Amino acid sequence: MPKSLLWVAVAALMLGPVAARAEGTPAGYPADYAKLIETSKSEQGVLVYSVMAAFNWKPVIEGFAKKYPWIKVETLDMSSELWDRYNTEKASGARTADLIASFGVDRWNEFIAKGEAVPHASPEEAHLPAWARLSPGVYGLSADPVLIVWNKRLVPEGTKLDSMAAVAKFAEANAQKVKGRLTTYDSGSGTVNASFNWLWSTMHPDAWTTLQALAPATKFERSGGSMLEKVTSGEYTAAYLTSAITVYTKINEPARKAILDWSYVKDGQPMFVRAMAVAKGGRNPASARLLMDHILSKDGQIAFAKGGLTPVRDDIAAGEIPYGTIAQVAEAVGGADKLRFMPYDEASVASITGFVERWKRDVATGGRP
Amino acid sequence: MTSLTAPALGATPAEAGLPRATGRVDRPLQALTYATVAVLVLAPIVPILIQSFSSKPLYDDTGIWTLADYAELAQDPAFWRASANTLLFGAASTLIAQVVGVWLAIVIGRTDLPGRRVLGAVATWPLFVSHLVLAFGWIIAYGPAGYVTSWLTGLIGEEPWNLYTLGGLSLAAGLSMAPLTYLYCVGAARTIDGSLENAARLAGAGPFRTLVTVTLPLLRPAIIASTILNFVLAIELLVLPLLLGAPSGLEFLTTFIYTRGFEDSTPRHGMVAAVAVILFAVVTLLVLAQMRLVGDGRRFTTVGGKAARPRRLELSWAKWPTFGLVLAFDAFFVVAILGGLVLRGFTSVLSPFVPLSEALTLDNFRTIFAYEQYVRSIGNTIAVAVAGGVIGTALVAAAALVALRSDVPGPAGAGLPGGLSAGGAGHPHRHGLPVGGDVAAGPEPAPEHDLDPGAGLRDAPPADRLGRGAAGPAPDHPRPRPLGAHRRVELDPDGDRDPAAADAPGPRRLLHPALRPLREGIRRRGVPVRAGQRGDGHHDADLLGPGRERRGGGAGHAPGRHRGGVHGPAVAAAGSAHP
Repeated sequence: MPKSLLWVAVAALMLGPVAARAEGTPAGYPADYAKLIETSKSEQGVLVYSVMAAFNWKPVIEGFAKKYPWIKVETLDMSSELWDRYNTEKASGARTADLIASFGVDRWNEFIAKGEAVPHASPEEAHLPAWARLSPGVYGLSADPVLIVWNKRLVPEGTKLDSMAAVAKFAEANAQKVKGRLTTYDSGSGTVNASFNWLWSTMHPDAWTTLQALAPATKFERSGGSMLEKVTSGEYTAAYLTSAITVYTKINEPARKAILDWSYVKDGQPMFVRAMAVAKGGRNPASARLLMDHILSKDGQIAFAKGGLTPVRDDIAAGEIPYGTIAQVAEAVGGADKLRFMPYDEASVASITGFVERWKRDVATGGRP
Repeated sequence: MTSLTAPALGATPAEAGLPRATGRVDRPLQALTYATVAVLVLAPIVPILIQSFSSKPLYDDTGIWTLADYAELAQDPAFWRASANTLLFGAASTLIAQVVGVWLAIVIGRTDLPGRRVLGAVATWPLFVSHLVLAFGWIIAYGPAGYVTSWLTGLIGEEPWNLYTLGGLSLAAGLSMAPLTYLYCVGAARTIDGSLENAARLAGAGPFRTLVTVTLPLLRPAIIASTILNFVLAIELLVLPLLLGAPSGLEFLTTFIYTRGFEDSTPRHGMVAAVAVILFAVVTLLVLAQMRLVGDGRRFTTVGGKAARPRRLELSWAKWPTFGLVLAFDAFFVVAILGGLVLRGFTSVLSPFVPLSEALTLDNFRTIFAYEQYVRSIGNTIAVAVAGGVIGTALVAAAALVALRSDVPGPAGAGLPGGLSAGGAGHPHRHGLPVGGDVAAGPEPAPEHDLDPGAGLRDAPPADRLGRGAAGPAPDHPRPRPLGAHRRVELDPDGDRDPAAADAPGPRRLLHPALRPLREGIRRRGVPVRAGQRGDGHHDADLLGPGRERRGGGAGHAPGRHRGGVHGPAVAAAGSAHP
């Protein structure tokens, strides 16, 4: 026991000066920000409910700990159950998330409408594009491009599946060979999964023709990880409109690089916006705000980019992050006008609901036995 | 193994002998146990029931009572499709599990199959792996790009099967459940008196007729119990249908609940609860049916004359073909699947396009240990298992005592012939948890407990049994090979049905899987057992009478007999319970 106490003392001595230095308000932040920092010291850390894995958070939290070493960050990697868990916990007065970071056009709208997002103007706001400012206190934290990934051994050399039109053409020309060998998100399994196909469809008046044409060749999956795994094993020839975050971080593994190729979507590039907000039900609002501002800061954005997320800030240059910046994506698909950032407005809720209904009627049946 | 049926270390003879505890101190304790169990059973069920009739989520108190969700379900074609799929899937997978499981039990438990110990042990491995992991194993081996599939496709030029169909899914689930059937039936199969089969053969019956008219009927309680259990497991299965059925758009009741309740943007709490209530009702009915079908186990008791060593059927010319078939089962449906998983754990990708040597890596393990969260989740799992085991053991032991050793009325105590049954303590491989018995059972019978005047009286009131039992031989009586009247209760009416399932109404049955580790714990600790039957079918001591128990009787030979078993931790624990 005395020995461990000694270590605590040593650690305190070493960390003390660091903490003292870090306590200052970050450059360019308003003067009253110090009050927020002060309040955070009496709080119990931050609990985050998010749809990002531990390895995505690690660099972000390490950077945050340098600024505010007294704030303990706990992250829970969840999926759609996130919202219900928050609602139930809040209603029963249990400890719940201080910060929520997730997708879901409809769930975010509901959350904001119910007044669950604590309004807050981030000092980083000036660097955020309009589409990343969803509502006061609700910000986009990343805008991840949607990709097409294919198995090079199963697609003839020289065929580049760099657009949905190219995928459709390939499927048509090899109807027998690729029957059931393409995959994408299952739009029948919730609106989050549906939004990948939906967002692309909003950019094309004739989107349904393409989606229906692809249906017989397609099996629908619920997770990007399982799509990538099955394209690697050859179970699927290609995955269209899949998530970049799973692809970016794994594509450079030597074994995978030899068999996989990928592309942005040239005939309309959906950009998947993840959003976050300080939750009203949380008990540590000051700490949560500090974490949110850190995530929006240049350091925080670069840290998230290490895990495969695409930063939303406008001041991050190519080369500062391991994968493409928004500007690079735009260049690859032939212009910023080809990008479409996930709109979190109310009209989108109706649009995506309608999309799911039609998808179930026209596409699901075509792709299913 | 015998430690399972040894008495509790602390039990005094007086305690063990008391038929019904009615002491002043016991009363409040009994009531407390009763209340605790009632709360634990009702806690998850009542909210679901309320939710199914409520218009809003439970956390939202503006809801009103309504039948709307049931009405909507009745009109939802997706619900009916899911119900039909669930029934088909349940029936097909149960059929596969039963046919394969009973066949394995007979050839391993009844015949002179070479290598049966090892083959039987390997066949039970899938029970120790979660369905989630097994599902990945099936995809790795038998999915469209699975390595077995690819290999066969290379041989015959076209894809031999499609795992993502109702048939493929049923096969995967059925073969994953077959070990459970095997465990249920193998103990019973081993106890069958060979002379009955011999008699049939002497009377001119061929081997097949003997099987159908003698062996299978004697296995009936075990077969019925495992059939219903497997069917219930199948219709409640989520992971396999989700992973193997979803890509083809197959929906089942469990995936219906998952999709509507968790993935949907507007979770349908009421509708999900209504489906759960319906599933729950079906399961309750099935459990009642099981109680009815095997309730009176005495019908399956055979009374023999002179004891004989259980003799194994000779397979003669069929020996090596049967060996080949069992070996193929183990190889294709156990080793191929689990081996694929192990391989995946040590590779960066598993793909026919990448030479294995290039993909080998330890990175997956490094990743786990590099993240606090992942390490924590391992720690959590272990902590939950240990804490759950300890708390549950105490609770179930208390519940068992209250249900069976007290006057407290209630469903748990009702309809039982008496004796301690709730923990299944006397049953060596309850609910697919093989402990001791089926591993240890060799061709040689353990020393029989000697003359047992209690034979055939197992269902008599405890006091009666106690009286007779006490008149038995002295404790130090050497145990000779059985002579004369030998208890020949072939199919233990308590042992071969699933006590918790059979004795409990639905709620407890539903909790059953959750309580699994708890019951396991009970067995290890050796709750006093009235009349145990070990996995190899030899009755252990009747532990009621003072001095009659073979206290720690297993300690002497248990470890040795467990050699070669695969059920490492469980067996080790059982063996070490009585050092």
